[in-house]
Amino acid sequence: MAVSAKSAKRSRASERRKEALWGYGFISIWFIGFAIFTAVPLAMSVYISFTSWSPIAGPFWEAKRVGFANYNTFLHDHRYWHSIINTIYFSFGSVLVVNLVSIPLAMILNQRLRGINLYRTIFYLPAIMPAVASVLIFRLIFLPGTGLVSWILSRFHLQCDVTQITCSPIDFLNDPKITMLVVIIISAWGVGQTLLIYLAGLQGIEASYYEASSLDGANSWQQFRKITLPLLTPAIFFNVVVGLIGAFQEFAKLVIYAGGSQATGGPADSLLTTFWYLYIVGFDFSRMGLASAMAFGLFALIMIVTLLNFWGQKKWVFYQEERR
Amino acid sequence: MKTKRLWLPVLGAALLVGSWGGMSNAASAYTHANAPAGKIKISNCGGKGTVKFMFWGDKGDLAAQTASIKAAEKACPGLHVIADWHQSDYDTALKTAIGSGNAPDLFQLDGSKRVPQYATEGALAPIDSYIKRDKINLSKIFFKTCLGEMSYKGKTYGLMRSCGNQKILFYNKDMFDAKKLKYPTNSWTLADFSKAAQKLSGNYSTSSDPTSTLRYGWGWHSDDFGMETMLYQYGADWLSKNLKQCTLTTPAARAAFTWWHNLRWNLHGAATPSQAGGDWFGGFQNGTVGMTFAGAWAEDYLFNHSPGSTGAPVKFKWGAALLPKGPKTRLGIMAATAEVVSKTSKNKNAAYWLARFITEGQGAVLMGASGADTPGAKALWNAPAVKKEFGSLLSVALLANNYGRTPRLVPQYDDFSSTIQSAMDNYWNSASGSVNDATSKACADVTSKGLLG
Repeated sequence: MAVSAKSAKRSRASERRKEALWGYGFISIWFIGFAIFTAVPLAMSVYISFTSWSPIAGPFWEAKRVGFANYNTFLHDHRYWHSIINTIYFSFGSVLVVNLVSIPLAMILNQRLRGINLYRTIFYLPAIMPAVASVLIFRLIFLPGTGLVSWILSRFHLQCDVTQITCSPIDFLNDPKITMLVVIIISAWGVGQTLLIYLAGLQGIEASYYEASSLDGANSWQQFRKITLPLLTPAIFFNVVVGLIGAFQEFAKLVIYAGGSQATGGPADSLLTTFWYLYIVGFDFSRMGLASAMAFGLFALIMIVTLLNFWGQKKWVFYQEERR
Repeated sequence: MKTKRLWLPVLGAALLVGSWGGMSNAASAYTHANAPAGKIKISNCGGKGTVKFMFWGDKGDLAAQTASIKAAEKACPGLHVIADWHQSDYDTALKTAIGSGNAPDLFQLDGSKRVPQYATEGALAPIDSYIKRDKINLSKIFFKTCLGEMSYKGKTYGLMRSCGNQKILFYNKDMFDAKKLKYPTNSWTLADFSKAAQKLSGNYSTSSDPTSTLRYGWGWHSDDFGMETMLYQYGADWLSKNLKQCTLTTPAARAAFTWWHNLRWNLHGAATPSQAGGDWFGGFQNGTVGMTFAGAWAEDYLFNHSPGSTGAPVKFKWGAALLPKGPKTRLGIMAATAEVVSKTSKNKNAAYWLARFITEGQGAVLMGASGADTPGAKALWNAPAVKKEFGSLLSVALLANNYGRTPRLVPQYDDFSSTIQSAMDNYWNSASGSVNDATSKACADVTSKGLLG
């Protein structure tokens, strides 16, 4: 009896080992990819940030080590701080716009309507459209003089007559005061992903809450304020955190809106985000050491914002499970 | 694998011996002087072996480079050239190659911007000893106005494949005809230019475009080349001669910028950013901009006129003249493509020989015929292929090369130029911009960032 129990135990252990080996085998593919494409470059980047490496001068391991000089340089570079301000403006602005647009849309798409799946598909479609294509289309829409927005403004006499040589129409592409605002507005085009999460969040709210509140005489606005919004806060929190992390690293949209030239940060650097600036410093100015240090500056900023988000969520995020 | 390992040192030794052989041929006769174009023989083909040659260009350039390389291999038996062509993102590819320890033996550099940076960072081999060995007088072979772009701090680093004034005045004859204006001449001044620009601006049709359309006199261009030329016309510059001081705040520099700003915002002789959508190139191509400044490359890329062009030619008749003279000069900015030898090359002699072959030898003639740019070697402008390629534009381009100058460059050129452009943007793009504020900011920024020479 004891022998058979022992052998069963051994067999179970061997099975577990086998299972574990399979498990390690499967994750090893991901792990190797992570090591080669993320961990090693990250470690290299840390090292490079303490060197004066320029690819023109040769391989990075031959570069002179300069301690914290690169960190000191970017902290005293006002263009870097300008890019930080732009990054914060774009990130918070676009996350705000995307969330303000996607919550009402999600509520509309949460209705029991005929053909609702078709509508949901249509609203999600822009999310799978490449940013290059959509921003190029928006550039045409916002083209001063001949673009759709300019045409509408002219029709309603909200700007000068664009057929006259003395007329300089509102310049959505080159006026540094409005370019970033336009890109933030354009961000609303890609609400699909956020919308999907809100839709899932809305469907997770139990119908009994609404039934009970109806019996108590609550109107739609009260239901939204007292039930929907509080119970949607976990989804809002998720979208804000993920959205901010993504927005802090936005690059393509801004470069394309600026006309595709990566050498300067749009008109008067009005679109220059930190991610873009460190790209310019690294690839155009060939100062990889400085660009790496800047990347860690950006990393620190994202980390602080994310930590603040997590710290702040205790005050406003409401989880259904906690109250049960 | 083993064979390969054995093969490499043998090849290395062969290259070394070949290189010494080339050096020992130093005394051999130099045959360049007075040789008819295309028949020039480049001596000292002693550096046999493999040369990796990196260059940029479109498919037309590639075809010309390939023909040039084949001719080089034929002219120098034992030389094997590995062509490393990049249609786009050349700078990144080059930096990646050097940064990973795989620098090409010979590569192209934009002489109007890059030589000081690459030389300062130790990527280039000086070629003065080879030039001395071959007893070449560079100023006799190449355009003097581009020579400055081949050297830095007294050392020569490159030979020029092309050299051209980037500020030739191109004009749309149909727009001039429609407004009954005389065509620009080589003796035009900025005042003539301004008058024409103002008259060309407005709503009208032309013989090649019967639609009444809003057209503009000049296609605005205030990038680095644009600003530098504005300054030269007024006898100003963005840097002092010793490169240690930003001179954008001088009265002459401010007067230059004010003149062009005024042409755009007060005289309406040039499109504002919102009118042109920022596209001077497309505006000139589609016949809504009457005049623009560009290099001879315009023939290929702007007008799609040359045999190698892939696009449809422009619909209007066009002409070219020298840059209008400002209060001081009519000097436009010169740009040359440099062929430079890598400092880490193990086959410098062969790389240098190839550089000569493609800058002044038969290879250069083949390159010139592609329409990529006008040759840097003076003799090649007589080559039938080059004449055929550039046609009537050649005489203006040749003359313009005498009215040009090399820019003052600092090693961190990109950072310097980008910082200045960023500071100047608010001025160029706004009617109420202050030239004093913009230039003061530009100088303060480049100085505080330590970008001066």
